[in-house]
Amino acid sequence: MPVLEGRELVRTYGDLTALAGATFAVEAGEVVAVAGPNGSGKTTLLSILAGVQSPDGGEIDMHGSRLGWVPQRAAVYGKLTVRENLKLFARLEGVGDPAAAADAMLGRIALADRADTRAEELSGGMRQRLSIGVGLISDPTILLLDEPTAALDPLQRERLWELLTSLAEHGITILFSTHAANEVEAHATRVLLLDAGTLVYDGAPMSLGHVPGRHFEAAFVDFIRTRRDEDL
Amino acid sequence: MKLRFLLAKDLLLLRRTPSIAILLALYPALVAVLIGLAVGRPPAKPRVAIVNQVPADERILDVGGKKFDLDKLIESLYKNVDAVDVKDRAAAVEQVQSGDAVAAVVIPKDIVDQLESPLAQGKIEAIFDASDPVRKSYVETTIKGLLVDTNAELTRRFSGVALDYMDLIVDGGSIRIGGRTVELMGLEGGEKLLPKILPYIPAQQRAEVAKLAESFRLARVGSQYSDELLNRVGEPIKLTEKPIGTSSSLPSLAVAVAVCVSAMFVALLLGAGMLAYEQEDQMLQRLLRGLVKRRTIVNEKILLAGLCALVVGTVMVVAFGFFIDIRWQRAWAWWPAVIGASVAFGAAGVAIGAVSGDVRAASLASFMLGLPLAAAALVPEGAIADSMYSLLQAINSLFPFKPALELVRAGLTPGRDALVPSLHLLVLIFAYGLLANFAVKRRAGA
Repeated sequence: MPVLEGRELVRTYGDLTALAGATFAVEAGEVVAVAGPNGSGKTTLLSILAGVQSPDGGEIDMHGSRLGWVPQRAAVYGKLTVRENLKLFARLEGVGDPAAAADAMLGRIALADRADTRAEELSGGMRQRLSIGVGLISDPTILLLDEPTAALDPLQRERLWELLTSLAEHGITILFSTHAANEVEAHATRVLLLDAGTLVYDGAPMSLGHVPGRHFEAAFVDFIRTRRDEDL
Repeated sequence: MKLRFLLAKDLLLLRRTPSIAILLALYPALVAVLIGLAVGRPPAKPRVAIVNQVPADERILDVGGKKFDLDKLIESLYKNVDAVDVKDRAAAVEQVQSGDAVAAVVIPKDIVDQLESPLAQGKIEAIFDASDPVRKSYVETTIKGLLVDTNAELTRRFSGVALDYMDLIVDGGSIRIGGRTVELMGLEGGEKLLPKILPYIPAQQRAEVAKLAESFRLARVGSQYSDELLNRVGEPIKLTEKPIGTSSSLPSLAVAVAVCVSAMFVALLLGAGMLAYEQEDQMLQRLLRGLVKRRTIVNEKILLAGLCALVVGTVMVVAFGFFIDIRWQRAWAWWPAVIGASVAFGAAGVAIGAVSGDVRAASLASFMLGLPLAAAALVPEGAIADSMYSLLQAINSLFPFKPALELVRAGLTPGRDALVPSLHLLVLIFAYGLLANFAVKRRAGA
């Protein structure tokens, strides 16, 4: 039973087609990677699903799901503390008890000991966890993350994936965009591969021309190259 | 409700940025103190070096037998300037060249002879630095102003001498001519004498003598107008000032300008900066995906900028109260005016921030637009070519400074029109709000 469907989604910027009719469905509990090279339309797709942008064509069916969105940059207020940021967004989301929701979230994102630290004083990884906390504050069933680990070092990346894996284990469906093949291989249960705005692959990462013993990134790159050659 | 949360958040952000908070508090206080001191105290008199080359014992002027003290006659030269006596012309030139004096006045040694002579005109020399055109114009005006008073005094004294002569012609009396004292009968004496000698005149000539007596009478009567006539010669045209419109004192104009300039910069910088800040790090996208409406963000930023500008404007008026007379009983008029001006500047700032997109560009744009537009609004009619003035008027109508200034002046001064600037500001607030909404929509990529 899909919890989120996109049908023939199109988005253009002047002459540039960022998304050329993407159709897909996401099942509950999946961890879906929206992968592809730079400029392939990953951010555009996630922005459309998050409601930040409107599609020029196509439709989205949410099936009653609640969406949380974590933008590429940690969109939090640097001068506010971790707790104040969470409380503010809880209020804006219309959460019944914003203070309680913020306190609960501090534990979930492992920032309870930094509750009264200003966001500008946090490390990149902590700031990203706070941004995820803001995305989760309204208790969504689907969490959309736009390149969540792009600005993090390997250790911070690992810590963040522990958090995201734990969220998935608690039943939250996760859609994340990335151009890092190793993240797709390690964390995604399914991959939507975009190239120049076109959805070129929708399936398990392991089925992407993967040969045991060969590096996944090589298979990833080969797939895109082969497809481009076929188009020519 | 959401607007309230955003406003509380922004006020907290401002509180946690001490440099901005200090700047917001200090800036208006500093401007108010400086302008208050400038307009609350009388202007300093220009320093003028004066060389009087007439020896002290020769400063007595004899006109028509009347003696005048030259120092008294030129007293008004000293009245409106900070006069400093210097010993000679070279010292005077040095004072002007060094900038110690704006000008020097040289009273020549023969001024007494010139003034005593019925054929010559008194001449004094003015020395000033002509290298700065603005200063030159100011100094020329100052010196001409000094001579107006001195000439008026001389005219009054010389008219008095002329009137004494007229009295002698009419009433008779003694006058010294060529070292001898001569007795004059005068018109009145002649008029009285002629009827007495008429019986001794041959009959055929009496009519002529009677005509002479009548001429004496008419001349005496006509001379009664000489006082007034001589006064007219001294001041042929008397200026009667009939100002129209509501008079507004210089201090109240200065207060209005200072309040508007301060409120404008605070509101523009805050409105533009805070909206641009919201657009950084994808915060705007996060807020606009269903959390907050676009117009709520725009209205909140206008309110925030307007609120801060209002505080600054109000503090300024209160601070001015220490230096000049503020009509506190008219607070019901000037405070809403400051509110209207603040909100309008806030709306303009938010529009600038929405169009600029990032904080640095927004701050720069606020300064680059605010400063020349405020200056343009202060250019008086007639100071530049008509076509240029019309162009400035058109530009001014698109920016809130001029109507805000007019509204605040109307608040401070009774009788000035407040309706037109109020409506003008309302239209601008609405237009800038729309522009900001449109720009935010484009920025958010919706």
